[in-house]
Amino acid sequence: MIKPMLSGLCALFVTGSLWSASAPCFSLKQTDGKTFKLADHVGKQVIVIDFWATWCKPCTSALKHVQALKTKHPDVLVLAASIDDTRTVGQVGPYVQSKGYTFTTLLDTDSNVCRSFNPSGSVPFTVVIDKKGEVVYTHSGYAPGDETQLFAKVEAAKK
Amino acid sequence: MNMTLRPERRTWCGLVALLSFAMPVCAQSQPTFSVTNEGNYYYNKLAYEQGQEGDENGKKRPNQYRNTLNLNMNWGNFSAGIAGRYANVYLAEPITTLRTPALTLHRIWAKYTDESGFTLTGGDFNAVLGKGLALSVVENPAVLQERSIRGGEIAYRGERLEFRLLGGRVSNFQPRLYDPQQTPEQSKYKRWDVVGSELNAALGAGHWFGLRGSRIEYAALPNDMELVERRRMDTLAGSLYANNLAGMWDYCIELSQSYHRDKPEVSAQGLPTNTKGYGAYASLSFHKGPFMAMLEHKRYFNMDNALNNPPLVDRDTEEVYKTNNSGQRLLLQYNVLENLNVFGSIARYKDGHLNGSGMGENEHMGRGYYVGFKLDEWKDRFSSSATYGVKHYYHYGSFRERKTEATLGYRFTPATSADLLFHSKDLVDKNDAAAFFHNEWDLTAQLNVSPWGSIYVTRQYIHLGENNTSTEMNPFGINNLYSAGVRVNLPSYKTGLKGGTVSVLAGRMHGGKVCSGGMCQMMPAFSGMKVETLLRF
Repeated sequence: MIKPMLSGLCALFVTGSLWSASAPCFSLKQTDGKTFKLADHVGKQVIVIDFWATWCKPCTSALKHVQALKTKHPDVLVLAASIDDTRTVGQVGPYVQSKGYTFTTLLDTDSNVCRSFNPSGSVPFTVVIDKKGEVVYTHSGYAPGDETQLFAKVEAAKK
Repeated sequence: MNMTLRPERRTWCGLVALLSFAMPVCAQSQPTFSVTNEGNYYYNKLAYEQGQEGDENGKKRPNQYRNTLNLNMNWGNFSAGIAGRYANVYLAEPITTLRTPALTLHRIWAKYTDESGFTLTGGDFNAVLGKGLALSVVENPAVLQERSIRGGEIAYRGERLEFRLLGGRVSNFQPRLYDPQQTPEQSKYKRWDVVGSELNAALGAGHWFGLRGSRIEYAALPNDMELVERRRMDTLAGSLYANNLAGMWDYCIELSQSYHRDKPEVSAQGLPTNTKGYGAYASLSFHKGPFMAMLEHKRYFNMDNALNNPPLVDRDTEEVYKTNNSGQRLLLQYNVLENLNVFGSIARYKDGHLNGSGMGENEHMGRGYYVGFKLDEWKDRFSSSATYGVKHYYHYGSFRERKTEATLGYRFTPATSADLLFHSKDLVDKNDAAAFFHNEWDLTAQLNVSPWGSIYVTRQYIHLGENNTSTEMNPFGINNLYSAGVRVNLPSYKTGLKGGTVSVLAGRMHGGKVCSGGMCQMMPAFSGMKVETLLRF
């Protein structure tokens, strides 16, 4: 029982290197009370999703560059999806508003959407989806300079 | 003929039905796949197991390895995933320990999402209803919780109406974990079956009304499957909330009532034991320009149904008694400059018996505050942050806990930077400052070369007081520990590899929350080497 399962998983792992991955459809609540549906946007424009949390310092440092991306590329849909759970989710909207950020902020309170992109659920985690709806870039963590590569990947996805 | 299906088989039947009845509607004409593999290997020289088998002269901790392989599929409006995990032994901390080697089906799920906001999910999923007073089943690595509901969910999320109906059995919860109070066999046969529902409706002018309910059927069964304990826990909650009213106000009020009933055949007296509980949480926040203020209040009485996670109204995710507590908090934040914000919080809380009987043995009350600032890349060079917090509390005495966190960063070139990270915590008896319980600090120096990764060294110091006999806090009996590591980010391509990381850490660590390379994670105490790989395709 175990050997066939392991063999199958190994085969999938090896062949996985040949696949391209599309973004899973989802809908989430926005901090302004509206509902966001990825299906309304996927395949029409480049989409950047940054998963973050208020208690994560690297995440809040990275948000500044997410906002810069939104300012530089108004045609790109920039989303910041918070995985704050019930203990801290109340701070998300006021925090984003007080910082003057204009990107769309989503609430992924149970982390189901984050885990569909990143099974480990770690944050910060950034995803770039091209106009075909395919995931072309993912990145875990944030260190100064990481934004340079993100901007380059977005430029490439727009072509 | 007996047509009754066992709950697990009903789940699989539901999954098959879900995948078979619907046709793809969305953009992709063919399925696409992604694969993630996460591997951990600890070469562990830690001399003994903490408070488990053996004592300080007892059994050596084993080397640990754990590998989780995830396969996700997207096809139009469908998505699905399967995750298998193999671990030889999983030692995270004494209460979250998998004792025997096992290949487990960690998660399996399938989901259908249409353009109108309708979602149908089968398999493993996480769920939070409202503010978590009625039900919250989430994975939370910060407190080493790995759990999900294995069952089904129907949800609709529209502009003015939302509903959710879910049910299933909680998996990866205590049944897989070692409870030091019980044998592994006893823990294995604990069961939590849950149903939950939620309805949110827009009232107009930005206000929403919500109703939530959950029923949890708990059963503990020994090896011979003879019923020994059964309990039913029903929780109802109602809420009123709004976001960004007049561009500056948010509020939320959630009230809940719970009803717990021990089944008569299993209570000690042979009679049913019924208990009622209630919970109330309210928050009000204001933001205008660079200023933000948030006021929170909580009062929970007999509210612990084992699957809820209400707001703590406190700084951290520290453990508190969920059952009976009350508290208030005021959080303030002001953005002095675009890159600089200052913040502060003051809170008071009371845990334990709130039934008016006065200070009991289990009562635990206190107050705390913290203040700090965060500076992000001033002049594209300097980053810094600091937080200082003090908590005074009373529990078999009067104590003071102080915490400090500070970071200092400098960017040499657009892609090269260095950081110093400092954290300290001490706990003292206020009546006898010399009789401290513990004093710890850690300092990490880190060099980052974007986008390739980071290299870092850490020194941890811990000193336990004479009154502190914990072997968990200082498993080595050594005050100073050193470790060093490297974290390499893998490149991301349009097809094939979509990024990942390879991390190597060597040395000795006390364990706990460890931050390096721009990420934080919980780690067990270890001595030796840890290799971690995360690959995404």
